Order: sequence, then C-alpha cells, then structure tokens
Amino acid sequence: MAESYGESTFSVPDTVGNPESRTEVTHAPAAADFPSRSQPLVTTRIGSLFFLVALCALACGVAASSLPQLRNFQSMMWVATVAVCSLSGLLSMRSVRTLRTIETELLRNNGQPTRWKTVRPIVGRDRITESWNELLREAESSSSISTERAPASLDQEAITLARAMRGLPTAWVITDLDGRLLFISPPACSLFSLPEDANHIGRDLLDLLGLRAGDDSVIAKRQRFLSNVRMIQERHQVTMEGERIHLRIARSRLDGRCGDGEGMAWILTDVTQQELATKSRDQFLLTATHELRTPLNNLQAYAEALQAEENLEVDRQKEFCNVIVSEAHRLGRLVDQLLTVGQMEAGSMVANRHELELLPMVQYATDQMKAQADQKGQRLETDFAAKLPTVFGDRDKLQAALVNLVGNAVKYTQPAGEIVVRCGVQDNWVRIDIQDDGPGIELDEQEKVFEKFFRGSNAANSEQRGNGLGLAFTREVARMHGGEVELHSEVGKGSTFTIRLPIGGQSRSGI
Amino acid sequence: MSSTPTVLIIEDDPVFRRVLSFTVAKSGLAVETANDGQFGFERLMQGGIDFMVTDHQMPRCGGVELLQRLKDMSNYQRPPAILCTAKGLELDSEKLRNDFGLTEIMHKPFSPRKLSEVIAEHVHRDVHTADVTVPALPQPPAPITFPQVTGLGSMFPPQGCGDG
Repeated sequence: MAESYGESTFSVPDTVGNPESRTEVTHAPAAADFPSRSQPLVTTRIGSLFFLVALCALACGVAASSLPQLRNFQSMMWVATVAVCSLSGLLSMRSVRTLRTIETELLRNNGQPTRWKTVRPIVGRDRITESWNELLREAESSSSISTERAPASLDQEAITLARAMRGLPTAWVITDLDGRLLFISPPACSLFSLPEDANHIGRDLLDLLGLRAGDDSVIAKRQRFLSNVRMIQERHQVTMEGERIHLRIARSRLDGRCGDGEGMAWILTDVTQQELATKSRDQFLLTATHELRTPLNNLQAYAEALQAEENLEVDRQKEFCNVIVSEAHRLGRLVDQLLTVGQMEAGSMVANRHELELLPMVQYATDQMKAQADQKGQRLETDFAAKLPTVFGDRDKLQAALVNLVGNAVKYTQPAGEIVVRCGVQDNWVRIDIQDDGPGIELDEQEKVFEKFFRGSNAANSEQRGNGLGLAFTREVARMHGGEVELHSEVGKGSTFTIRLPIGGQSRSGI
Repeated sequence: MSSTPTVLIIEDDPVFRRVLSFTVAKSGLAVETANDGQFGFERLMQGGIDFMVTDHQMPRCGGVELLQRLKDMSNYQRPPAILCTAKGLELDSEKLRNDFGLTEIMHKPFSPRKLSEVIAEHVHRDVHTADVTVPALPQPPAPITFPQVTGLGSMFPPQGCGDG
C-alpha cells in the first residue's frame, strides 16, 4: 500500500493546479480506456477467485487421494494447492488495493467535509480510481466556488449594476429614511444643478425639494414622504434658480434584511412642459367658453325682451331683431375662429394651396372695409405696385387674414383718420403694409397683441368689440405660408402691420 | 334724490348693457350705466345709487376689483349689488357672495327679466324691513308704480358723498 501512496502524492499538484488538464483527464479515460462497462465488481472477482481456488484445492485433494501409492505426486498436489491459494490471496489483495486506499483516505479526514480538500486522489487506470478522483474534483470545485470565486463575481455584478443605474436616463435618488442622499444619478444632479463629480452623500433631498421649511401644506407633504407608506406618488412644484419646475415624484421604501425600512428610492420626473401645455389648454378652454357665452347671453336676452314686451314699438322690435341677427353672426364667426385657433394649437390646420394673385385679394379686403371707413369719415387709401409676383397659398385663409388687418385698422382708428394699404416686393418677399394713424399700441403690448384672446388696453377700453383672436389667426396664417406679420407702432402716432409672404411660396414648415 | 330707486348697471358689452337697461327700466326703475368698473366707481362716489349690477370681467377695473375697492372704504355704505359673470363653475360663487354680501350672482347666459325681478324684489323688501308703510306690492314684472319709494331716501343715506 505504501507504493500506492507514493504514486498518489506524486500526482497531486498536477490534478489540483490545472483545471483544464483536470477536465481532460475526466473525459478521456471514461471514453477511450474503459469501454468494457461489463467488467465485474472487485468483490465479485474476489469471490470468484476464492471459488476457483477452492475447486483447485478440491481437485488436487481428490487427485492426491486417488493415487495414494505415488507419494511424490501427492506432495506435488499439496504444493500446487498451497501455491494456488497464495496466488489467489495475492490477486485478491491487488484487487482490493484501491478500495483500501479509499478507505484509508476517508478514515484520515474523519468524514468531515471541511477537511475534504486534504483527501488525495489515487493513481490508477481502473474505473474505481477514476470515479474516486472525479468525486474528489467535484467536491473541490464546489467548495472553491463558495469560498474563492464567489466574491469576485459578486463584485463584477455589482459593478455592472451600478454602471447600469448610473446610465439610466432617469433622475433617481437613494436616500436614508430621513431623506439624506446616499446615491444620486447624473440626471438628478443636473435637475438640481449639482456638479456630477462632487460628493453629495449626506445632503438633504427634502431641502433640495424645498420641503424642509414652509407652511402647513409643506409640512404635511414632507411627513407624507417620510412616512412608513411603501409607495407614494406626488406632484410637487419647486423653484430652482428662479425657475418654477413641476415634478412628479415617486418614492418607494427599500426593505432591509428583516423587512424593516433601510432607505428610500426616489424617482423625480420633470413635467414642467406637460404642465404648461395643460395649463394653456385649460386657459384656452376657459377663455373660449367665456367668449362663447357673451353672444349667447345677448341672443337670449334680446329674444326674451322681444317675447316679454307686448306693446313694443316697431322700431324697438326691429332694433332687437337686428341685434339678434348680428349676435348670431358673431357667434358663428367666433365658432369658426375658435375652431381655427384650436387647429392652430394642435398644429393640424390644413392649407389648401394654389398659385395666387395677391393684388385682387388686397383690393377685395380694402373694398370690404370701404363702407365702414366711409361711415367713420376715414380715408382708406391704396398704394399698390403695378404687378406682384404670385404667391403659393391658401386663398380663404390669406383673404381672411388681410380682411382682419384692414378691418382692425378701420375699427380702431378714430373717425376722420387715415388708413393706407401698400403692396410691393422686397427682396424675395411680397410685402403688404397696413398703416393707420390711430391711437397706436403700447410698446409692452406690441408682442402680446398676437397672442390669443389678448386685447390691447386701448382696444379693450374702446367701445369696439373683439375677441382677441384676429391677430393670432393672422400671424398663424402668415407663418403657415412661410411668412411673418410684424408690427411697428407708436402711441399717439399710429400703427403699421406688415405681412410678408415668400414669392412662389416656399414654406418653412413645408406644408 | 329722485323718488324712483336708481339702478347702476356696469357692463362693458354695449349690446348687453342696452338690453339690461331696457329691461330694468321697463320694470319702473331709474337706470344709469357705466362701461367699466372705473366709471362705475366714479358714478357710485357721486351717490344716489340704490342698487348696483356689475359685470365680472371688464377692462380697466373688473367687478370683483370694484367691489373690493368699495369694501375697503370703511365709511362708505355700498348699495346692494348683483354680480353677473360669464365664468362658469371655476368661480367660487359662495365665497364671493359671503365676502361682499352680494344679493345674487348671476351666471351668463341669464334672463334680464330675472335680473330685474330680483332687483325689484330686493328694493321692495328693503322698503319693508325699513318699516316704511307700503301697500302690498304688485308682483314684478308688471309695470310697477313706486308710490312707496319716497321712503328710500332715508334707506340709503347720502352714500359716498363724503368719500368721493
């Protein structure tokens, strides 16, 4: 047995040190060197051997006793019997050698898994040896995964996860239970205008959100965030660097090992743009309904007045009917304009474009307003170029825009004022100026007059009615054609609205 | 002060102002008009107004602003007021009513006849509570004679004259 030990210790470093060669050893003998899977078990072999020896001894005994006279032959038989016995003993010892080694190894480590590694593989080319060595390798590799390799791969996973988290395009923050920063993502840093590479651990998220000091509602909100509730979704407004930001905050509590709270994860979404869009839509709806109620109100009031008064003079009746008709018209126009403005808002206004001669259109707009201007004693003059290049555009919308501009001039210019409509070409543009010597528009209102529903203070204070949609519509139409409407005005001196349209109509928006 | 109660209608829309003043005048009340809160305020300061009707949204000075200005003047007793508005449910009517002690808030579109009924009823009720001897009142909107209105002068002391 000593020699088997010697051999086995000799081969140890090779088997343990090199995993690759180990796997080769595993496969090669199993496949090539041991094809005879029908080889009998060691114990069976020993049993058969002893049976054979017993038969030999019996045969020798029988042979010796059958010839008692040949003493030499008898002693030879006895010698042969002893020889066969010894040989079989040797053979069986050889057969159980491997088993013995395994037994010794197992006894040596007392069957404790912790000392399993000290067990040595054995040398040999039989199946038991191979199986035993294989078993050892299994045990060794499984124990090494849990001890040596595991930390390395865990670290790797953590690093990958951390990178992924940092790369997420979301403003996330991990805090402790009191809202102090533990981790913060780069988008969250930029949301709070914090430098990305600085250390922010320990900073107070609630302070950054402006929730540390304030009135009762702020305190209530803070308490909700710091409460024990697992998930919270809230909308929150915060002013950062003078800018008002709307945030949607989702906060979840992170569980510790025992189910207790270990920290909190926050996701902050900047919804300022959506909030503004919603607000402007709501404002539009509010103003629109308000504007619609006014003519509706008049319709109802006048119809009722007609209905209620039995002895109404004919003139009165006529006056009331006229009001009803004109208010109904006004309501209709308003609905049209609201629809158009709504389409403008949604970006779904459609231009039916054709090759257009602008001169007749400007002439038409001027003629339309001529009667009204005459009534006010205003001079409505035209100064047109002899010929204008064509424009590629939507006739109805451009016509409405022109009537709007000339109409505004007539409407807001005092009686006996002067309005001049000019047409000409400037660079690549067709340019139409509508100039009046009316009250003019305050400087700070000059941009606002193009906003929906805005009415300049002079216009609002005058007796003239309007809904503040005309100029918004006009500008939208001009821009839709790739042009622009501009305003030059001075209070007390008058205003000039200029509409410019590209010759041939290359639209910037590509409609 | 005239014997007929005077209603001041403050409304920026000339068309609606016209029908309001027509209907209210038909019920036998004297009517004056103003086309925004500022003119309305100036007129109120001159006194002699027994009832005011104001629009909510007007240029220069809106209805609520006007009411606030009148409320801020400690030694001025405002006539009963009705606020008309084209705003819908977004308006906190109850708060406005309580804050300014409004007689009524009327949401457009409303019937001018209803308005003149409310005014007439209110003016007459005040006459009652003022314990002026009045005969039983005819129901509006029948053409109303106001023999009892003589008492109104004492009801509405020379408002605002000293403040304006």
